[in-house]
Amino acid sequence: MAALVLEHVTKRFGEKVAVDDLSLRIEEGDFVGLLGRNGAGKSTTIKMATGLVPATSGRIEVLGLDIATKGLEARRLMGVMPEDMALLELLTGPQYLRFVGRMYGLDDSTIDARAAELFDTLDLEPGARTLVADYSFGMKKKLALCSALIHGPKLVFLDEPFEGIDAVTNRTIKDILLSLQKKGVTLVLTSHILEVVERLCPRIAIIDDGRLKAFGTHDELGRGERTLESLFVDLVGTEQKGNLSWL
Amino acid sequence: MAVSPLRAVVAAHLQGSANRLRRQLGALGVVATALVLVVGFSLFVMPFVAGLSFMGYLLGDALQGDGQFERNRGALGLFLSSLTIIGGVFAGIGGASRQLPWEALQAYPVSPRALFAAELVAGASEFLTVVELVALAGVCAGIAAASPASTAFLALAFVLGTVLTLALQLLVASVAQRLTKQARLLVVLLPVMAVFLSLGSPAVMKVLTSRQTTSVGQAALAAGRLSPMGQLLEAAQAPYGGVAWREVPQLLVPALLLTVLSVVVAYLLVSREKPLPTATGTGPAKRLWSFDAPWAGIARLQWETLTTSLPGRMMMAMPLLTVVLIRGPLATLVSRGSWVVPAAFLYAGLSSTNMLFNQFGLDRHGVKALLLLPIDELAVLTGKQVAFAAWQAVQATFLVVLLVLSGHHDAWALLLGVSLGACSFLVVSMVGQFMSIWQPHPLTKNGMRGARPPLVVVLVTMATVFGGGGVLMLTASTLFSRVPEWSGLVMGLVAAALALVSRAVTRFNAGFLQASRERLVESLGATA
Repeated sequence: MAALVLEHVTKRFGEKVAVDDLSLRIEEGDFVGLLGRNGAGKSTTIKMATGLVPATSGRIEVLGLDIATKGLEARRLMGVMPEDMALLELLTGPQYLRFVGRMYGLDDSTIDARAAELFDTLDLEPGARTLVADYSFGMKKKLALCSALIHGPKLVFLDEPFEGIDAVTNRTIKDILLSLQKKGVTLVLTSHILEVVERLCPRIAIIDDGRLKAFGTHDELGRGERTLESLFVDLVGTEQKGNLSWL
Repeated sequence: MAVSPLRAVVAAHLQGSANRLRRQLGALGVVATALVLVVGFSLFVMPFVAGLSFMGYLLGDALQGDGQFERNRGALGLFLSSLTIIGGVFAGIGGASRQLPWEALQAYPVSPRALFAAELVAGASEFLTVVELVALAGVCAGIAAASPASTAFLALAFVLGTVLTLALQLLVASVAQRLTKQARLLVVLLPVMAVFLSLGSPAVMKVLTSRQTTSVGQAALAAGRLSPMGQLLEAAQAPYGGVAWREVPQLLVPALLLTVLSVVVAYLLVSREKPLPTATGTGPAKRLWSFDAPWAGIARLQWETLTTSLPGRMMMAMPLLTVVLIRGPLATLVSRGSWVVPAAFLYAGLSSTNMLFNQFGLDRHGVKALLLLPIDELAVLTGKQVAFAAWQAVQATFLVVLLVLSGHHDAWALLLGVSLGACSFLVVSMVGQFMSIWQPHPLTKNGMRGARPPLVVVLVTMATVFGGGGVLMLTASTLFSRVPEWSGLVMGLVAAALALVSRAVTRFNAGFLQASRERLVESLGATA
């Protein structure tokens, strides 16, 4: 079964077309890297797929559920780590995870057990009594990941999870994601760190100006010996820049 | 067992409120605040509720055939409706900063209806709402004690009042969060408030305190009778004058009102769709700034911040509010006093204390970049002070125009007012510089999040406003009563002397800023 299907999806904000007739099919258990320049439409695509923003036209199906009509059921199966994180900053980390767990219908003892494990794995224990508002950027990222995983989702969207993260946590998150993939969880990841995407994601989707430029495995995209960065640059097309006149 | 989303949201609200208090005040501060609340509740809220209960008891008596029932019903309907509306509006404004971000809640597998209900119930955790609901319960209990047969209707009145207050609270909070981004709320509300307070409140007060009912008074009482609360009170009388079920259709008005209100609130909450920021602007490019000195650059930056932020723009509303107060609710008290004009300038000036006591608040994370600039701290503080002075000068000019238009033509009083305004600005900005460095807290440019200062700032603000403001007002009024034509000039000289003192204080504060850079960056980097 497909984990995510987008059929001719378009999103307009007034005159601006953020996503333009995008069609994509991601199978269950897949790990897809969603790439694109800033403003290409990656985050809007994720917001539509998670039901946060309605599509102007087209159809989106998540794990067999139409997001327009079965949004709540679909959301129960999803975990989302948005780029802006959207955390409740006046709660402590454990209070926040308890809130999130409750919203997904988990009982308190399950939430507390999972939260303790997540805090231990992601080295968040020193911040257990601190308000989220006082967390460092990296700690907030980790907490956002915890909240995306606490209910055991089948499909996880991760918008820039490696931004502002230290090397050790980076490694831990990668390990977590790979173990999730082994357990059959579908993962959709956006990142500007192409080396990470290259190593983690067997399948790549490249979006430019709201349109799907390419989708497939590294081989299918004809990467060959090239790095993902050079493939990406070739596909989205850019001029050679970088010479500053006064330097 | 799993907890319902409603309970989860309410618990998060309460935890968030408690955490905010603890963060701002520390453990000792929480205890002190709790004591203040207990004392305040005992001294002010309990007598207030007891008075309302007694009022309710008197009305309950009138329900049993007294001829004054119609008049009483109108007055009490008006009062209860106002209590509900004002309680809901103020709790909404006050609670806007506590509301959980709706966008974050929408990501969960919970229906908007359940989230709406949870947000509605969570509103009851606001102090103002609690007071308002206790007062409402007091009135209803008073009426019920005098006329037990109407208890069922009164229970309904209480439920209606509660839901109406909570719905209004949520509506105001969401409207404030939604509209203030374009700063349109003030533009819409202020003229309405100005007209209402200038024309409406003196008339209403006059009517409600006299036995002669004028046409305006009759209209106000009729509005009270027609209000949902008035309708319910009429229904409550039914057991004494007819058949209770015949009054049931009257409940359609409050029910309809509640439905419309709920739909509007739900629509406002759910229909938030943010457009993407456009990468390319269509307007002409802004001219680059140029400066002769670093402080001028900081002043220009601060000016830009003040003119483009909601808190800054709200400062500009103070002259209008001041004149509205003088012409409206306080008209009967202050119209003959010679001190009215100087006091107006002092009031308008002191109302900016919140901003002057948190001069870095709007810089938020940007304070790091500001302090990394290759300029000294004295230039930073001087630049900010100059921008605030210019902003207050614009306010003072606006106030002069409004006062002249509203019939205050005494040139000596206006001159004294301007001088007094300058003095108050210098006093507040001197203390404010220190407080801004010592107790900074982040503010949002386009909303009201974080507008509540720490308790210590509130206490120092009160000391400055009542102490400094009191001394200045006493000096000004003494001068004006003895030598009115010289009073403005003398206060001007006082302002000049204060400016010299201010320069020295700014140097001291610059040293304090240098020593506190790291803490300032850390405090303002946190979220409001």
